[in-house]
Amino acid sequence: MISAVFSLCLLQGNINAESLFPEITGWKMQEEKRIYNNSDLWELINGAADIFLTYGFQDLHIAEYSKSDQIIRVELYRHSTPQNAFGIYSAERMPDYPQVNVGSQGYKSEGVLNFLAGIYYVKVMSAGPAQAEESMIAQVAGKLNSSLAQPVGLPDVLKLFPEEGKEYLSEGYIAQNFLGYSFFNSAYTARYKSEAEFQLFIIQAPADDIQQMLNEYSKSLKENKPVKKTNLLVIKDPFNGSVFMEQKANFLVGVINTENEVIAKEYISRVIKKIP
Amino acid sequence: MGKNLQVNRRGFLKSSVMGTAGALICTTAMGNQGSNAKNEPVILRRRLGNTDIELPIVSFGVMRSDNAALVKSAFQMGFEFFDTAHGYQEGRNETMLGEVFKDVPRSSFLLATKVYPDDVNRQTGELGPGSTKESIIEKFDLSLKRLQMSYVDILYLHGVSSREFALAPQLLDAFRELKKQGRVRYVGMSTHHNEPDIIQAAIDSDFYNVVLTAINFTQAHGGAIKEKIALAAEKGIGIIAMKTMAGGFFDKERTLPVNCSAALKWVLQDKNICTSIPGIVTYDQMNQNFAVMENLELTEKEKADLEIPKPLAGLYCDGCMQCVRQCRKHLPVHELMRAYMYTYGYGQVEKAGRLLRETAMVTDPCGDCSDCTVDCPKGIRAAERIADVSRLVNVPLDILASL
Repeated sequence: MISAVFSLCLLQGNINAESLFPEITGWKMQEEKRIYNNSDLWELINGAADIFLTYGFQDLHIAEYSKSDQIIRVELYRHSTPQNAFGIYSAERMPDYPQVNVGSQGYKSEGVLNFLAGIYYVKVMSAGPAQAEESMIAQVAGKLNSSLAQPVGLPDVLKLFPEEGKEYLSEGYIAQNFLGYSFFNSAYTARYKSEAEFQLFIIQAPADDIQQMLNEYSKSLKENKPVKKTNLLVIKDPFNGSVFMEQKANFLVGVINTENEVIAKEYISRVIKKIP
Repeated sequence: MGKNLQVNRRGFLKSSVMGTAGALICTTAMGNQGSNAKNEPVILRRRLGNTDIELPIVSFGVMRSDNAALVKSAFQMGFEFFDTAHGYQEGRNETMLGEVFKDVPRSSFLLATKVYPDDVNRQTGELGPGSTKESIIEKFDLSLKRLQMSYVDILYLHGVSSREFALAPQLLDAFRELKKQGRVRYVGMSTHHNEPDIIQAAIDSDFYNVVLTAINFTQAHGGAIKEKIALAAEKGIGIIAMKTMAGGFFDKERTLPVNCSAALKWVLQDKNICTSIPGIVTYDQMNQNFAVMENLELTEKEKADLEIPKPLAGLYCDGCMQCVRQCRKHLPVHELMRAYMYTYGYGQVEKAGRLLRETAMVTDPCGDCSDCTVDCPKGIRAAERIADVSRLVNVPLDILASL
């Protein structure tokens, strides 16, 4: 109820604000009056809202472009940071779907084009009785991307992941509770297939914070305390199996989902070498 | 309904989670939980309406697809029922569950998913011509493929918000067909909007086996929901609770966390509710929720934590008036904080609107101040709250009164 009230307020307060949605010749654009925020997103997307909130969801603006019986619906999910927008985009990204060159990254499937643009995760979809043409969906996406004028590119940390053996489009960003532990908070991840299958992760945080995380991790392990082998920490985690980690300055680099210590060490050292 | 079923944890783990009533110890007692004669932990279980399903009173809401290890651990620990949806993370949630359970005997766990029809007006719940039987079946086919399963235990119509939506013949046809094919054991609907009417629709339908409803200690209409839950239970409809943590925070800024165990226990005091599906994303939450399965008794502290005024202390202005002296515009900051509390604490927006008018407030009165001189002893960030709540002056009182 309160959110509905403030939607009304926003409507009145933003009446002169510039629209986020560009005009498209020959199409009628109708912006939805209601703007969803973190207290009412669930009213639109039900339980799927919870994960959006973990990624610093700010608000959602919606518009529809219509022409005869074709409707193209656009949803602009605004997040607190580009990292968070990348996180939710990558959590929903379908690696198997054809990629599109719009924004920082995007993909399409039948009647749908989703892309990432700075702090926005954008969904463009055919929503009318007649299927909108793919080229038109792409055109709307392109115009939106220009209108949003966001910086292009993915988070810099992703450049630290070695290319060799990395699964296509497997990179992600977990904003909270990485590995199921609240003390780890956020991490960048990528999956690998080489001599073994595993996941490489990179946590970026002040060095002292990383030390604190490691202390808490150690404290949480009732048995099998971490073993240090030179710079490599080896942990037998009761839930996540073997966890291999090494810290360098403001980065904690690790490998999970494999027991192969040689491979883990090799990939961690490749990342460590890239850290300035 | 209303019957608690207790079983020793060692006894229930993984042998079979269906049709185990004969092996269970039945009790109607709410007290003396958490142990049996040998002081071994016991898990409270309840039957799901007239189905042949009995479940521990806490289940697992699968919120994220990035931590399969958490789901595996929960299953090994004794969670039996996992809840997902076709639309969660564009299907990756279901895909992850499919990978987790692909090598696990199908009879050792229960799983529910949800499908949302195409062409639904999300505001009104009205269905358009695109809400077809075929589209529901098509979505469900994809869900089963992702889950790598031949059936689900419960299929819900997702996010039902109107009676018309709940009773749409083409949607019921789709569910009926899937049930007949054996690909769905029981049919249900989920609702977190207009819940009493929706539960009534389920009762009237003579169709649904299960209702998944939002229910928590903060809802102003919680009493009405509970009345309908009792009626539904009487008719043999199984009730599953969601949104039991009320979003996890008391305040909009998400700084005042809810005592989640207490909130969960509060919901489960209602014996008409079979189980709950709190979202679990950490091992701590998993352990905490598991502990609720063993002991539903609310401690005195937990009871106190659930008293609305106390947790709302962060919203509550003591009225010390320091702020009025500190504000360079001499705004009635304490009154504005009161309006904020009415709005976010109690949902009394009309009262807040009237208060704002009484103080002759304008929208965003701090807008032309570059910094705020108010230093609240309780740490309340006055300028942010004033900017937020003062927007209510734009909304006519008759509209506020109608909400």
